[in-house]
Amino acid sequence: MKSTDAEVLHLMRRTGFGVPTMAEFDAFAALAYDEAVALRLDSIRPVAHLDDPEWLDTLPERAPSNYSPERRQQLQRERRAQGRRLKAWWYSEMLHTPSPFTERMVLFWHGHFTSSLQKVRVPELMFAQNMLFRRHATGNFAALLREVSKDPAMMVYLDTNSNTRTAPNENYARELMELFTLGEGQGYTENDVVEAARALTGWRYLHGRGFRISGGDRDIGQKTILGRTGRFDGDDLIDILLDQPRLAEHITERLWLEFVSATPDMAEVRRLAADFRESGYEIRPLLHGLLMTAAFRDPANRGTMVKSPTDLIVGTLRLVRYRPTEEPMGLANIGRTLGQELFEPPNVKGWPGGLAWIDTSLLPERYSFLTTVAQVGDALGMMAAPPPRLDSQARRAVGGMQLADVDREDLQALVHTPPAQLAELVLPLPPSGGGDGVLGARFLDPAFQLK
Amino acid sequence: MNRRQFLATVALSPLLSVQFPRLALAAARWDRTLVLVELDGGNDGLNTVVPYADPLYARLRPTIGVARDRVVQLDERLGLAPELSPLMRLWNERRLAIALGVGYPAPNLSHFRGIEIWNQATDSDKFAQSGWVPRLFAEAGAPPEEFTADGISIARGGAGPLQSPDGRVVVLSNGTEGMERGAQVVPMMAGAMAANAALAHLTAVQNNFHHAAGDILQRRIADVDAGAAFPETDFGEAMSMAARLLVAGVRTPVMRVALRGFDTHSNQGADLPPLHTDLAESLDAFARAMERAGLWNDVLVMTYSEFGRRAAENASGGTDHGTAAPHFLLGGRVRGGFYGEYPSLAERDFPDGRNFAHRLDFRSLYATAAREWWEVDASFLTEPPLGCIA
Repeated sequence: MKSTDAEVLHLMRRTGFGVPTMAEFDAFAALAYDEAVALRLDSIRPVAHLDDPEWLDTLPERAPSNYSPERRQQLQRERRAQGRRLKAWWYSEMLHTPSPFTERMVLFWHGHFTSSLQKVRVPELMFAQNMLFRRHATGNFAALLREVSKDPAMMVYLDTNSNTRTAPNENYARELMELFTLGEGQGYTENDVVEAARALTGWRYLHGRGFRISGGDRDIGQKTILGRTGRFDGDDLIDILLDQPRLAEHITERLWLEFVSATPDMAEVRRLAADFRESGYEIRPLLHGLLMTAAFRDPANRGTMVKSPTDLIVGTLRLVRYRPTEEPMGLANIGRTLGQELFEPPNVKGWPGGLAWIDTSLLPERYSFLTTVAQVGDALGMMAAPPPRLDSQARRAVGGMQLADVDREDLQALVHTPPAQLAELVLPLPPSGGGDGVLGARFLDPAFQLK
Repeated sequence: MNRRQFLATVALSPLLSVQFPRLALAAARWDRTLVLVELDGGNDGLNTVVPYADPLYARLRPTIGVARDRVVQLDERLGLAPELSPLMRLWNERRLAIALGVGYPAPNLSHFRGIEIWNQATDSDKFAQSGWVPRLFAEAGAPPEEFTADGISIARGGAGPLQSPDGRVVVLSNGTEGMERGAQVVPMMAGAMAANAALAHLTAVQNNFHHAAGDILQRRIADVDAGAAFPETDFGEAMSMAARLLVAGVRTPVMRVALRGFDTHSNQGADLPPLHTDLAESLDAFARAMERAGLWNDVLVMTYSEFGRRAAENASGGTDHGTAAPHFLLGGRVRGGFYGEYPSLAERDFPDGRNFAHRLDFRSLYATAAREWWEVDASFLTEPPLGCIA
């Protein structure tokens, strides 16, 4: 059975950034719904679309001991500059990629297995973690969990690197259970956290030399974790966690909240989680199952989720056909102002998301960004010749956008779409503002904040 | 006895009126402002109010402990970390109260669950829909409509203890400049709210913003002189904003600010002192600003945090998540001094072998705000107030 246009648009909004191009939409519109879901999942790529940034491997990971204090400060400054370029690189990837769903999954894992540049400090390590999330974006969760636990950025961020036999550091052990696998208060005790930290002792990341096991720091004694007793190490701990039925439910619930709705149907979550566990934690079939649920497909479910700041920024700039040819250095500032700075989640729990994306401080900032893009978009889309350049204030407001990087032909086609069709394309709910159908007016419709 | 009979008994019980005295005053004092200061990440109580005379202190903190000769003495047993010395003026004027050993039974050592418990004022195994302040409004009546807002949060990341599904709470994390950029935020018709919860939230936020912005922007906060020099930090800026809003005449019963970075699992010796400096200098500047504006008797500042930290330091020169910790209350009506007791530092007194036993329930602090400050009561605040407000 062929799916309806509205259903396809819903699928694309929820698994991408904003509005698809006409060509994308046409490719999907001819398909039955489950085929459309499969095609969407097929689009996910294990590697980035853009080349690696050129600044990789240009700075020492750790200041050599002979560096003077001034040289060390210089290194810090250079790292901070690379951090800004790292953020710009990801925005660029999101704006250029033919597979927005990939970016949504990478961003989901970034918000789940959080690490922050603030603490990790070495941009290369955060880039490597981003690549790790790509490799496993819709692959196998067990493999992802094993690798991320030994990921250098993670080991620095949650102090696995300073967890020793004589005095364990519980940071990773706690968040591993609370956030990454079981969920807060779900069947583990404070004592399990203490014992898990002991199991993780000896895991080391040596700068420039990768993951090692440091025998002298290992606690080789007996531990009791989640009812099992043995001389467990970190790998055993992860096996024990993967044996807990709650793990599949927690991950399924997290993905439901990301893609389906703010109110998980726990019976459905348990059904999908059982299949997820049965499959040995294959992510792709789980996503397929989530996107096939009646809850996801229910027409009343459209336009009930708030666009994240990244969704709003990237989706809107993709909508006006902006493809930066230089690093879009200003977008990270907009993300920060709107409440989501890439590579710098607010804390280990990631971004709270949902209704929290909109409060009385963040909403005016969202409108402010949208107003400027709307003006640029309408001007470019309607005028025969583009304005020579944006004034500096407008440039700042849209992250240093270069007008030459907007595909005007494509944008003009969009602007000249008949009003009713344009509204259907751009908004998940009927417009509340009436309006004359100009593209920019749609950006300021409350429904544009939703997906 | 069925439920109805039970409720009837409760309503008639003279005992209850003794336990929860209703204050005779007719009107709630929503004209007084409570400024809640969140120490985000879990402040290390042991290195904040230091039990320097206890030999066990040096044993728990062999490398990151505050050296005895650096402690700023409060009495013969306790002292402040040296970075907190800007608070000594208020201590000496007896306008600083220090609540000791603040925690709750069956403590939760997760950041997120921990702060949720503190935000909502529930038992550690119970949940509420809203923060404790809107819960109080729900029972005691909301602040007047003409107020700027029911609460103002000058911090990123939600409204914390002010959060409720339908409250008139304003978040000002980007300053009033952010508010000025909100010209496109127009009031919305209630009709649009019916569609779904997300749109309802959007509509409520849009309308709250419109109401508060109308009041705040006309006061030109950016041009208001706070009357004191605040540190040039995010927290200093936020405390300055709180001061300027009050000086300019913005009316709200509660404000919330947050100082981040207290999750000192490693390298605490380098990371914690600057936070304490920022905290103490900002609080002192706020006090001076209020004194100068003649508002010092109308504000009460109270710190809170999701937990204190582990008694013993860890091998990374830091501390893991813990339980009870001291908290500060300051204001012109505060009766300074210690309230509660410092928890025992002896391992045999640690309920779980690692963490301090609490000596004061955190809801005593909230009961102080409710009964002594705003002069209202709420059924969920069953702990006695501290008795620290004159």
